[in-house]
Amino acid sequence: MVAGLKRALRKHNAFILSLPALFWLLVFFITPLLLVLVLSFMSRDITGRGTLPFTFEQYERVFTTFRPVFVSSINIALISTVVCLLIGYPLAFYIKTRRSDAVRNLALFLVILPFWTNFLVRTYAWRVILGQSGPVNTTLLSLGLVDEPVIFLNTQFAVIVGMVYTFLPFMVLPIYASVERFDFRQVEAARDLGANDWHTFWRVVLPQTMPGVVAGCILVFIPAIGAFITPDLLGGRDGFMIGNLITRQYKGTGNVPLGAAASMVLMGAVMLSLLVYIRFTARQER
Amino acid sequence: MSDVKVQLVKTVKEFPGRRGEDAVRAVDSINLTIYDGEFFALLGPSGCGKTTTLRLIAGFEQPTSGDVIIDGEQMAGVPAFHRPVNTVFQDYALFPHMTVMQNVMFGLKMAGVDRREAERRAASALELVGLPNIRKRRPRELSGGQQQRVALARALVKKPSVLLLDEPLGALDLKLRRRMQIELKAMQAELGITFIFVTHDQEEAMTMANRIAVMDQGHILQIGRPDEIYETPRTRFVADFIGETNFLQGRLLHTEDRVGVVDIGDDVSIPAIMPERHAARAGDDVTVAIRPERIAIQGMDVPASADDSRVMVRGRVTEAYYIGTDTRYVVRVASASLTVRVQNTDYQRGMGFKPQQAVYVLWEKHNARLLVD
Ligand SMILES: Nc1ncnc2c1ncn2[C@@H]1O[C@H](COP(=O)(O)OP(=O)(O)OP(=O)(O)O)[C@@H](O)[C@H]1O
Ligand SMILES: [Mg+2]
Repeated sequence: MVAGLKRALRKHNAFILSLPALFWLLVFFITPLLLVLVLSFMSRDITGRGTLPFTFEQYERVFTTFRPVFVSSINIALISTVVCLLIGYPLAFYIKTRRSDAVRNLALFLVILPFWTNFLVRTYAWRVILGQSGPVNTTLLSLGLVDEPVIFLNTQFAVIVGMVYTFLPFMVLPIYASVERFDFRQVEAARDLGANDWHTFWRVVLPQTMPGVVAGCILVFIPAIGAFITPDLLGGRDGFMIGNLITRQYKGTGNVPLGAAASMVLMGAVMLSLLVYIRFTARQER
Repeated sequence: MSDVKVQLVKTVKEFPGRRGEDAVRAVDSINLTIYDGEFFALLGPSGCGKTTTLRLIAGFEQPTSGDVIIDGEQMAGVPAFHRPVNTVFQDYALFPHMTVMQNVMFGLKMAGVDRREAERRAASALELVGLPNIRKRRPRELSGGQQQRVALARALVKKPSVLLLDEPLGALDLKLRRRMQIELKAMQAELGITFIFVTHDQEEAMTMANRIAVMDQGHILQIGRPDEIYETPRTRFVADFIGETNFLQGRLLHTEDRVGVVDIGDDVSIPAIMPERHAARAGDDVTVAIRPERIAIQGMDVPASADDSRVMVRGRVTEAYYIGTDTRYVVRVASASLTVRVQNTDYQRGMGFKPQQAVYVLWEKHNARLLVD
C-alpha cells in the first residue's frame, strides 16, 4: 500500500510538484480571467454593473463606437515602440563599445536609474517639463524658434514622449544583452568578404541581434498599448487610450461589461501578435 | 622570383596605451616583400605583432606611418571590402545565423554574382576543401576541423589575389593539424594564390612555407627560405626560436676569411663561421651556435680524427637520455654544456655512452656559427 503510493508519487512527481503553482494560477489568473470573459457578454444595469441577459452588444460597441480609440492606441504604442527602438538600438551599441568598464557600467546604471523614482512622480515631472512655461517652451521662446508657447500637454505627442521615456530601459536592456553576445569580429569577416557598412549591418549585425530587438519590442509594445496612467496625465482627450477607456468603465457609474469586452479584445490582440511572433521565429530557427 | 604581390614599406602600427601606459608599437618599421604565388609564413612568439601585420594588409588597421602596397597599388584609404585579399580568421568568425552554404555564398552575393552561379561556385569551393555534404548545417553543428574548412572555402570562393591565414590550424588537434598542413600546402600550389600564413609554430612554418619571416617585438629579424633560417640564423633569437641550439659564450681571438676563432675557456678554442655584416672584432665577447644533431660523439678509444674541415674537442658526458628515435647527451666541454643528439640507427641493450665517460665531440666546421646578439 505504502510502496504503491510511493511509486505513484514518483511517477507523477512533476505534476505533484507543480500543484502549488497550478493552484496559484487557477485562483489568481484563470478565475478572474473567466469572470471578465463572462462579464464581457453581459448587459449593463443602471449602476453600470453586469447583468443578464447575455449579449454581444459590448463587443459590437467596442468594434464600432470605440474603434477610433483602439486605432489611436495601437498607433501610439507602435510609434512609441519604434522610437524606443531607434533610440535604444544605437544606445545599446554605444554602451557596449565603450572601452572602459567603468563608463559601460555607469551608462547601464543611468539607463535603469529612473526606476529608482516613483513612476507617478516622473510622469508629473513631464507635465512640468512640457508645460506652457516649462523648460522646453522657455528654451524655444528664448531661442526665437517660436513666438508663443507650444502646446505639448494633452496631446498624443506628450503621451509618446512619456511612454518612450518610461519604457526605454525595457528596449535597451534586452538589446544590450544580445549585443553583448555578438562577436564583433564578424563585422571584420563581413567586410573582408566584400560587404560594405550597409550590408554588414543588415545581413550580419541585425540578424544576430534580432532576438534582443524582438524581445525589446514586445516588452515595450505590450505595456504601452495597455497604458493608462501616462495617457491620463499627459494625453488629455487627444491622447485617450484603451487603458483609459477600460478604467473609466470600472470606475464610478461606467459600464463594466463594456470594460470587460474592451479588455478581452486588447488581450486577444496582444496574444495574436505574440502568436505571430512565435510562428515567425520558429520558422527562422529551422 | 616573379612579380611582387604585397609590399610593406617602413610600416609602423602604434596602439595608444591605456591610461598611464606607454603606446604599444605592435609593428615597428617593417619592410617586407612578398611575391606572387608564394607561401609566406610570419613566424614569431605570442604578441610579436603577427596578427597586427596581417590586419594591416587586410585593411582592418591603418598604419601609423609607412605604406602597404598590394599589386603595385597604395592601400592607404582603401577599405577592407575593396582589397583583393581575403582572410581565414584565427577562430574562423563564421556567421552563426547562416548555413554552411550561405556562409560560403556570402562573399559572392556581396560581389553581385547571381544566385545560380554563386551556388555553383560555393558548391565547388566546398568540394575543394573536402566538405561536399554539409551545406545545410549551421556552424555550431560542425567540428573544429569542419569549421576550419568552411572558413577556408568562404575565403577561397572569392578567388582572392592574396589569402591571409591567421593561425588557422591553431584550434585543431595535432594529427588533424598535420593533415591540414599538407592539404593546405597542396591546395596553395594548385590554386597558385599567394598565401600569407601566421603561426607561432616553427615546425608548421618550416613544413609549409616557401619563405619565412621571423618576428619579435614588432620587428622582422630575418627573412629567408626554411633551410636558410635554420642553417644560417643571424641572431640568437632566431637560432633559439627555430629548432634547438647550443649556445657557447666566448671571446673572439682573431678572424680570418669570415671564420672567427673563439676561445670558449679552459684553453679550448673553436672556429665559427661569421655571418655577413658581422661587426665583432678580436677581443669581443661573442656567441657561437651549434645544432645538437650536427654534433657527433666518439669514444676515446677510437683514433682521433680532426682535420681541416672537422672540429674535435674533448669532453665528458654528464647526462644521457634514451628517447626512442634519438639518444640525447649532455656533454661538458670546457665551461659549457653541449646538448648532442645521436640518432639511434641501431639498438642493443647497454650500448651508447654513459655519464662520466670521457669522449670526443666533433662537428663539421661550417656548423658552428657566430651570432649577432
Ligand atoms: N587593438 C589593440 N590595442 C592595443 N594594443 C594592441 C591591439 N592589438 C594588438 N595590440 C598589442 O600589439 C602587440 C602585438 O599584437 P598581435 O595581436 O599582433 O600579436 P600576435 O603576434 O598576433 O600574437 P599571438 O600569437 O598571441 O596572436 C601586443 O603587444 C598586443 O598587446
Ligand atoms: Mg595573433
